[in-house]
Amino acid sequence: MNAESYNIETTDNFLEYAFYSEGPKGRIKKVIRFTPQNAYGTTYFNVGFGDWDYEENNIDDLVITNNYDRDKVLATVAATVLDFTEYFPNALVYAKGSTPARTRLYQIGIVSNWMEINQLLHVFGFTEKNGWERFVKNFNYEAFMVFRK
Amino acid sequence: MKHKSEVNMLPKRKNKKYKVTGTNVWCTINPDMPSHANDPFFIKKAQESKEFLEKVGFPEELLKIREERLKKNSNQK
Repeated sequence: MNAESYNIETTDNFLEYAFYSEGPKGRIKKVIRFTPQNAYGTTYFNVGFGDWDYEENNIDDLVITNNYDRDKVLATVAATVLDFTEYFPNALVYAKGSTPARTRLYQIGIVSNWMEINQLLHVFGFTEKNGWERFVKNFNYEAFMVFRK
Repeated sequence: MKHKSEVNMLPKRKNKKYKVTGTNVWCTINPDMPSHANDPFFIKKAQESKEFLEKVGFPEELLKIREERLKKNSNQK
């Protein structure tokens, strides 16, 4: 990823990553988790991403951080997917935002880092109209699934 | 307990700090990092994803690619 990004840390099972967004709103902890799940007998990993809420002691995925580092955050999240799939190359990774706006952010993240992502991952997008298809830029998807090349 | 997909996957990473392939991002392995496996948000997201995929299915092409790779891997063993 040539875009500016944050350094990350991970657990020793590589299922979780964290980093700190830094900007006018301060230092905000971001957590990404790849949760194993099963559908139709196929194991895949759901990627979830949100801010750590120190008051509630949980993840808040609906907060709008406004730390003026959107692209840097998205490049960092993309890096966690690349790292996870390098370690688990046979894992299917599914992503869908909690709101259409969040899903759109994932899409922006994929497009912004497309050169690196496309070299290393098969990327599919889902729409109600077309079902699953290979990811194409300038097309809005409702969900994504990736697999290491 | 480790999920079955976590077992026997790849050799352990040797370095505690490494550069993520294809990026400028440095990653540090922190065994003391707290787990958020039980966070309601992640549990809810995983459940929603299951419901969604059971409704629409997986990308057929991707399943084929995966199947071929798994077959190839098992033949190499």
